[in-house]
Amino acid sequence: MNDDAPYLELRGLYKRFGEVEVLRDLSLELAEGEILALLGPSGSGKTTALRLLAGFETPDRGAVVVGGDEVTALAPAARGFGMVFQHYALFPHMTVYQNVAFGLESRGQDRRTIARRVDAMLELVDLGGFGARRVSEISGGQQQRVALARALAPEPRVLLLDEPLSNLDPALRERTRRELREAVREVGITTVLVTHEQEEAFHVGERVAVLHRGRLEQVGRPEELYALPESRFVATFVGRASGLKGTLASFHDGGLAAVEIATGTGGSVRWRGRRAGELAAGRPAELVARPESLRLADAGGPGTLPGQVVERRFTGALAYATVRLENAAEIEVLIDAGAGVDAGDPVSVEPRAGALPFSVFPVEDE
Amino acid sequence: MSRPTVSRPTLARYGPALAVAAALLWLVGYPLLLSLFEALGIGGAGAGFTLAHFAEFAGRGDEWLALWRSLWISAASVALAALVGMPLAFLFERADFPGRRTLGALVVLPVALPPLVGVIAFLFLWGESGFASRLIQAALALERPPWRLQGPAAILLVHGYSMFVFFYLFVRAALARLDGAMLEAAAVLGAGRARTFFRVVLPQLRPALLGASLLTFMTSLGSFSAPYVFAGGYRVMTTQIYASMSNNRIGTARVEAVVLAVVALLALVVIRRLQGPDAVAAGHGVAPARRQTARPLARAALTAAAAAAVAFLLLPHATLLLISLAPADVWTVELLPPELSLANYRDLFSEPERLRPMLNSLWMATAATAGAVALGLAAARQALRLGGRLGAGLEGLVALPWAIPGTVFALALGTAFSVDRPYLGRFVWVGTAVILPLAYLVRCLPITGRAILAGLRQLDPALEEAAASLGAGRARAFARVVLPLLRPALVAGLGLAFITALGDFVTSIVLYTFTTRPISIEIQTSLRVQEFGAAAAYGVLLMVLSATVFMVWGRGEEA
Repeated sequence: MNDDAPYLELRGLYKRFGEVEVLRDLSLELAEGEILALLGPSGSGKTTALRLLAGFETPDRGAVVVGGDEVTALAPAARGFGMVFQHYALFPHMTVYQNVAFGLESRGQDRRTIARRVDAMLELVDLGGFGARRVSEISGGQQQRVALARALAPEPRVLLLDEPLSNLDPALRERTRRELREAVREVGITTVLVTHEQEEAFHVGERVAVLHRGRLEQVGRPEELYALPESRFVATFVGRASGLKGTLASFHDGGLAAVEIATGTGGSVRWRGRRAGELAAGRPAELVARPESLRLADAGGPGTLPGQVVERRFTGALAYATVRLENAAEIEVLIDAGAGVDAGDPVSVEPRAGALPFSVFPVEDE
Repeated sequence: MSRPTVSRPTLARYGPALAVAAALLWLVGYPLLLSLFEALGIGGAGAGFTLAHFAEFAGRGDEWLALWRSLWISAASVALAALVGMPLAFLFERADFPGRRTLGALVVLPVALPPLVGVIAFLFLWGESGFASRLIQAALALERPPWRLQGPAAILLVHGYSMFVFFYLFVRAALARLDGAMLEAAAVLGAGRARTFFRVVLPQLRPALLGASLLTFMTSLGSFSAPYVFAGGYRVMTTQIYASMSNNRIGTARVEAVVLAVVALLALVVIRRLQGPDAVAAGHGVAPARRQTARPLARAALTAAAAAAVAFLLLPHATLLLISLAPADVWTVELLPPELSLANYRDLFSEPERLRPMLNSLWMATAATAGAVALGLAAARQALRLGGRLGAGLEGLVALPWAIPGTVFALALGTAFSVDRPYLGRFVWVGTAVILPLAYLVRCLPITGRAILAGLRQLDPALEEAAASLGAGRARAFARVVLPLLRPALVAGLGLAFITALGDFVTSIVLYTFTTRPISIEIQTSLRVQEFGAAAAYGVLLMVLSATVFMVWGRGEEA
């Protein structure tokens, strides 16, 4: 097989439930061994996409292709996929061992092979010696790992993970996330992870596909999504960002666009950002800024937007100020943790030199 | 300024629990113990401790035969009820077809027939001169009825008909609780339908199946109406006890009762052991989607099959209604009654002697239910407050009358309350208006106690603490917070207890007097003097009342 050819392909998957279009022509390609995260808010269609992949639903249009074979019409059992369910769906009446062995027995393997494979899988997820336990006797994190071992045991072609960490408490989640990522990489299996948590998607996924209202908004490496969002949705859903509305004033070299923003005190400022989307001079545009691309300046300086601090948020290493501007926009700014800024202080906000550029999007009429 | 808290004296702390325990022991434990002692010759008029009665029992073949019949009929009833109830549960829970909800609710209506009423409905429908046999006889021009409804087959038929509902309800509930992702996990792991069913679904239905088996087995073991009406000379333990009593061999009856009680408790322990701890699903998933059938023909076929099953199950109800509308003496050889009227119902309400049993049943059931709710509530509160072994002991006492066949309990109460020794807590209540309400109360105690316990367990204890922190005393916290939240459980327990008491036959036939005769006894009398219309009319009234209670209860469960 050609190394460049995709291993798993979603070709224009379309699905509607009644009147609701839950997935609109989703196309994605994964290289063999790649880990892709499907990221989106609830109702974005990511779970439906996963269920179409697994074979629990059939698409109205489109195809699923694995290693050149189309599997769109195959039953779940015939696809050779593995899946970790949101609530794990471990069989409560079986031991850990029996759960992991279940898929191997379905494939009619002999007992010795099964035993060897189950032991290897339990070792992989660091649960060697837990085989005889009942699944109700182990912790949530351990159950999650059993679910992973069970899914991997029959050596599936593709691994599907449905919000696999959402059931864990935050303290456990980060560690389990790391273990999950290591285990999946060690096996080298092509993996699709569905999650609504950006951190999870960025940590586990080598590439991330952002879904919104059934449509693919953007797919790329986490760094690309963060620095170069292609839509306003991606810019605000991935990472923290605030929007400033204004009018597109002019275009500049290097693909930059200048937006004229009212200060709210009679004047206006012109801030520049990278062009994203169909922009036209004189039309409304929105400049989206990450907190670290902004800084607080002396009140009333030229080229700044005046306002008042409404909240200071300290997170440990960093601190943020939420500023209500005179033009009524609310905007989040990264500040020094030691800066003596407090709610009620009059301030001005300006672009931080050398930081990540702003992004400029057209404002849709809505 | 707050005073330092002083731990309350032990009596005040354990006083209420002690009072409840004493009441329970007196009503539940004491009569059973007294029966046991008297069977052993202790304390009665006899000559002191003796095993003579037990020796006599052991030496008689007919006793062993009755015991064996009770056991195998109960086991066969379990199998039969499962065979009917399980497929229906799968049909109504896993398939999707038009009319599923309505038909699924109607399927349970056989429980709305109190035991004796169900039996007479069967008699009118499937008996020798019942509709079904007449119809076939006429259709095939036979000289004699095509079958006789008697013996073990008749008992099993009635048991299967009335007890499949346990399996239907339990299995349906378990199927609804099943995690749909579990079935998907099995599919992804390559398991086909059969393997998924046997390895994943069935093991998870185990607690439900064993629960339904337990209920069916115990109910069959204590079943009296069906063997009494159909079996003729074919004696099972309950009818054997009744026959011994009727023949004034009270010593023998007591031994038989002790043996049956021990067997019932043993069965309870064995089945509970099998049940083991519930295997609870790790995550709480979403119930599996019903199997969708797109083909209209297949959907129509499912609806037709479900409707046919429901129609068949409701035939006894229809029969009862029809016979209640047939005036006396106008219907002899015709297939269907030549005319219909409300005459039987009019008689029921206009003739004082016919109205009497209804009023008796109503007041006795009301009094018994009130008592059972009050005692059940007190016992449940104290059991939960005490916790540990003492609490479990109280719970056990509340549940005990459920495990003991009604005939046995009736005999025990008759034993305890036919002697005037007030200092021993014994009074002559047999033959008075006290004994039947008391017997009903004891029989209903497990129903109300269980419902209230379940309700109390679901209450967040922090609620009562919150009320206390807001300055509410115990009484106020109970009245304003606990009682309102407990209402669904109270209503459920109350309704079920009331219809159980209202339709009771098994204890009534042992303890009734002419002036306190309840409806069931009147039905039996009417049957004996061939007043089928009157018997059916009483039956319809009981059936409608029971159905109403079940419907209200069902709605409460859904909410």
